Amino acid sequence: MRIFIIMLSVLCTFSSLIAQENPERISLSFENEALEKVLLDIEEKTNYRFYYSRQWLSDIKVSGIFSDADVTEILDAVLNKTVLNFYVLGSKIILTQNNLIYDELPDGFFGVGKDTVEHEEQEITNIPQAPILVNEKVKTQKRVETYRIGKETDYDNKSKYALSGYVKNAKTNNPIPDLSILLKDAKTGVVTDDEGYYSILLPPGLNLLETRSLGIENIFIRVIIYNDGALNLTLNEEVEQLDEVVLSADIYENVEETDTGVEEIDIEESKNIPLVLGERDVLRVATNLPGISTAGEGSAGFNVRGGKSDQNLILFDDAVLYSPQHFFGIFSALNPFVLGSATIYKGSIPIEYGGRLSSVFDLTTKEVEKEKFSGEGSVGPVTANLAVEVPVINEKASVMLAGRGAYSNWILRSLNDESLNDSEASFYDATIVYEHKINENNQVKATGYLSRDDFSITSDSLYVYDNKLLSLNWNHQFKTKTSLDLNFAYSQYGFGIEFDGDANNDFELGYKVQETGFRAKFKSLVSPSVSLDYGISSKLYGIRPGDLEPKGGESSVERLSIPKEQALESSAFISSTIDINDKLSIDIGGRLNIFNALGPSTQFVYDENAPRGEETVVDTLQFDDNEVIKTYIGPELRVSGRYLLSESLSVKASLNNSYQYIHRLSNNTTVSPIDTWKLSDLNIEPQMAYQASLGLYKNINSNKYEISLEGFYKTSDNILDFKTGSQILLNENIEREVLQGDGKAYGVEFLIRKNQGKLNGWLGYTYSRSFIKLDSEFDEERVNNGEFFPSNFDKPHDISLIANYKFTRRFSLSTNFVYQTGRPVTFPIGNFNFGGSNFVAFSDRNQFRIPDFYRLDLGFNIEGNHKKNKLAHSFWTISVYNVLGRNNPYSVFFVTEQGEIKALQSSIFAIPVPSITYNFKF
Amino acid sequence: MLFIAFLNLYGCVEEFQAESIAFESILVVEAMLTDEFKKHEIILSTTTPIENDSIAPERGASVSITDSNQRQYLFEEIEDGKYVSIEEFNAEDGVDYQLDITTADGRSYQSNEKRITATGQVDEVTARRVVNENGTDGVEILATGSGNGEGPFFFRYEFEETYQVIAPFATSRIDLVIVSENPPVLETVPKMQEERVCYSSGVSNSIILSSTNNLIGDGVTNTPVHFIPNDNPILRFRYSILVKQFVQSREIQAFYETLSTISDLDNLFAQIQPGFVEGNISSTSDPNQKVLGFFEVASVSSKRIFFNYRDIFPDVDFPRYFEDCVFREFPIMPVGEEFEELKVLLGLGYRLVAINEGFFNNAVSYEIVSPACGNCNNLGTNVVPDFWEE
Repeated sequence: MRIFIIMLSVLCTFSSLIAQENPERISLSFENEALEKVLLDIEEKTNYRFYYSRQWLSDIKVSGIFSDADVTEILDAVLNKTVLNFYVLGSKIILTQNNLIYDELPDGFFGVGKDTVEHEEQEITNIPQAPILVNEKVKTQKRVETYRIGKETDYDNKSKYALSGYVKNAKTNNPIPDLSILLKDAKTGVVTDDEGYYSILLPPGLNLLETRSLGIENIFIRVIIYNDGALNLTLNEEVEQLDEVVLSADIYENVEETDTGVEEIDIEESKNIPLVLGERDVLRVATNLPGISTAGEGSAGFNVRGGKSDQNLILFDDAVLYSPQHFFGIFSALNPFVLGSATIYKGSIPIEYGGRLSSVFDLTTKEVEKEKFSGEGSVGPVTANLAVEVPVINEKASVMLAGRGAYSNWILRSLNDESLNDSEASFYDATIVYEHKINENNQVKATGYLSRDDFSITSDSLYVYDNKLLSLNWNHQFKTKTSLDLNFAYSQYGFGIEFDGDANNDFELGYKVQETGFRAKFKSLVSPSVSLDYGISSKLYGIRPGDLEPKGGESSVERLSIPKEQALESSAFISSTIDINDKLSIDIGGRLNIFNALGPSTQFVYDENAPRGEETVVDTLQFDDNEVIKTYIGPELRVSGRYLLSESLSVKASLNNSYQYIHRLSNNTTVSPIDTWKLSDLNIEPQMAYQASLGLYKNINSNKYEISLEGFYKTSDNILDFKTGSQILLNENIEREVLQGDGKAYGVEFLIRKNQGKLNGWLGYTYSRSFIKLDSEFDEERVNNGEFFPSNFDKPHDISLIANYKFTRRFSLSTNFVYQTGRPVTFPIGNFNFGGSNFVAFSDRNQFRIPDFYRLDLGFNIEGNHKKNKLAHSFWTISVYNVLGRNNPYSVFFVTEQGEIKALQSSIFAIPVPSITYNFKF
Repeated sequence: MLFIAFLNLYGCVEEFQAESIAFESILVVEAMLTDEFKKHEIILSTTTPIENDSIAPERGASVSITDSNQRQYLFEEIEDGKYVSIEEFNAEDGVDYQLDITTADGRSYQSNEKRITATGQVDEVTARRVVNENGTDGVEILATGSGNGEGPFFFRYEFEETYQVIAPFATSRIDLVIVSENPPVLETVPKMQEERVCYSSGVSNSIILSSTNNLIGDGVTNTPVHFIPNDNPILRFRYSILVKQFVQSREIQAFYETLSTISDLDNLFAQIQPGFVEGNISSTSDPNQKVLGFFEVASVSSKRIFFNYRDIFPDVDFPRYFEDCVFREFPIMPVGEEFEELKVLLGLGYRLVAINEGFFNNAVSYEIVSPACGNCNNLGTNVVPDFWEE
């Protein structure tokens, strides 16, 4: 298809379309000079500015001598031998390749119906003698033609008749593909195929049809249809006024996509949301969306649709980020300045992703500026942050460097808790992105990322944890309708503990998980209504579960190295999106995972009729390096479908299952940075989940409001939990502590968003439940008598409101309100004395709840003035976190001190926390 | 770029009065059989509501231990909830023991079979001056112990501390007594008992564990057992500590660790998942009946050390005495209110310090001092312990 080139620059608006009346006259001579050089000379000598694509000018050499010549004369002469045309618009000169920009309408501009059917022309407005394109506000006048199709019969009473035919380009006589033919009132339509053929069902009687296509005139026609019939149309290339183009892409995306449970976060708008301690945090914004929550305020890890926090695949440019948060979850580990998009899949997950049960957080860096040096920075109470974008090869390659660091250790000290007075905590992260557009069909991108946290809560121990990521991506467009996305990713998460106490047990401990993998994903357009996504991926996991080293000369700690774990997870996947008809579209896909746990390893076989323990080992198996210990095969099915009830209302459903082979080991109620990850092996089976969801999606007022209502039901098997009080770190036989049980979650999520206007934001409400069951025939492997009990993150009611009101372009007020049912906790049911000390006897797990949680935050944003030649554009954010000063209990716990029991409750931010941040952009 | 940020960030941890929402009375069993030849002790109690600190003994239960040689040792309740074996015996190597309990209301419980896992000895107990985490200067008692045979060994420590109490104003060899109230008559009589040097003691009330798991060799050096700040009056005079070391099983070690883990705040930001802690005792009458506690068979060894304050703190002032001393002076022949007051004070245990004399060496007044300063028996016992060494 030939596309009429209209977008030379999206930002230029025209003051006039009439060619300049007094063109400037100049003298110029050049001999075999590059055309671009000539144009630049003209620019230098006149007020004209040229607009063109440099590719068009390559290798064109021109010669000529002009004295006191009109610029248009020069250009006429110079461009004569080229395929370029020009058009003078005020002081702008626009070059086009092949196409002419018309300033008058050609003859036969209006469509000519080449049909045998009778047609009459009717003028609905007066057409001026000459086409007027003077002012962009004036709409092109249109004449509506009326066609009568078919012969009326009285024996046939069909409710719909088929109208079909071909659409051709009047100038070239080529078919026009991808042209939309819309039925005005019913809001349905069809698209012409590659041959320009279309077929549309129309109700009997009068129908108003409209055609739409880029570069082709839009016409309205009246069709009075009596019976099935044909109508061929011949359309002209459009005289399109170059105008500012407001891209309002995918306004019906939420209604039309087939997948359920997808949340997108507008990174740019997230900067208006009130901040905690002045840090912009996309992940925190995510937790304000239905179905995504955290176990507590400022706690690390996310729970998506009642799933555990290890069930989220968090990808940063397609590399897995194991610990996406700094400082126990209070701050995001991702620099807000480098993020370009954040999409969270909690229902139907795209086929190329796998390996986690609950969700995929697809976080990508933004496209790096390739034309000029630019940057962004901020100074807040906790961190300073700077990101710069540096073009390397103009318009082709550029690099982005970003770094952020916490000033010092004062955050913890300012927490008003005596026990934290000796504490230290600091963090930093750095990102580097290189992008290279090799040509139209090849693009490469490389991303490197590093983050690190240091903290010390007691004076004898120091904790350090870090992430390291590397991602390489090559995107290739084949000549056919196929593209390839090839990705290589490496990621590593590690932590270390240094303990320096009084006894001879000082140690240094290290833990590391790393994965290296590649993925090749193809996307093919089989036909306009069928597309295919397919590919393969494979990753190698390596875990060093713990190295214990003596620290200092006196320490008699034995060097201990828990043997490393290895595994290979490989997948092949294919999925197809099929538009069955205008209304029904389905997406059906399958994914086959093969997980090989690899040696070297020593694995124990336990007596199946007794609880696992040292005494019940019946066999010990030795595996050599890279020998397969156990293979798990996981077939996954992912089906989703959409049915359009109207253009702005759809119903969607999805069904999928998934497998997970890597598990976070934690016996804490919330995520801790020193939680370790463990691979499935002989004794620890993969986790599995099945999810069904059904939703209704409605847009009102052309996307001014988006409403969705979605329900889900999810069950899972082999969810990992632990015997109460288990020791996990450095446990060589973790399978003796692990309990694997069933999970069950269901809920309804409601979201209304207002996307435009002075007031925008969203309101979400979720009702959901999450349960877990740990049953066994042995007492010690059973929790709560083997019945379902609420999980730590079961918070039935969850309301969140984010609203932003723009007073002017410069001032806006934003607010954020959250209400959640208090999470379940395990309470003491009595005291007892044992060994001279008093202890607390606890209830069954999660029998009680802490009080409900609510919090209101306010933020006020001030944009710097919009003067053009300022050094930097600035932006102030003043925010108050927890305006109501609500003392939301984060946890309730009981301490035995000197034989006495104390009941304590902790909260992280118990008073309003004000902060101010200065952001700048250059 | 200049930027001023003002921020106050307060997280908070505060104490609150907890109520146990659904109190359940659960039997608590504390039973440790050792290789010492003695009458062994088993303590039975029930849980009490959380807001209530008292101990609720379980009375009237029948308790017995049976060994794998079919010998049965019966226990009798000598005080509320405290059951002691009728005969003296000791746990023997290679013999399994099992505990049976039937409560007064007919519920019965039984433990798993247990035996001595290993023996060991306390190699050394040392006292060392340290400044602890909170910056407090004090003395730390450290134990070094080892096990015999094949490890790993799991140690639990208990201690009994005994310290001298020397009453600073118990110098007088005579006492003041009231022989007649009406008319008021006072007399001085020779002291009948030792009131200057006494001995007082205390026991550990926390669970002290260590193990050779992950360590090279059979022993653990310098496990901190006890810390005493340098201003604690128990250090003022001679001090002695007996450190007892139990070599116990992995299971009870795990049980104790679980108890301490879920009873202690370790980390403000990540709380350990608590829950009901299962021991090795279960109900035989109703499988759903909860029971807390553990029956353990362990070997025990101990070591005692003595030290004086100056041995540890050569350059620090002695700690103050346990109490401030209050002195009062009364005439030789008090009458009326003065006599009444003197009577009350002597009744409270005030002791004569001195008889003040006049110009002609005539007695003019009695000076008395508050009980703890005049008589050490208020703070301990004047019986010299058998083990005491000067």
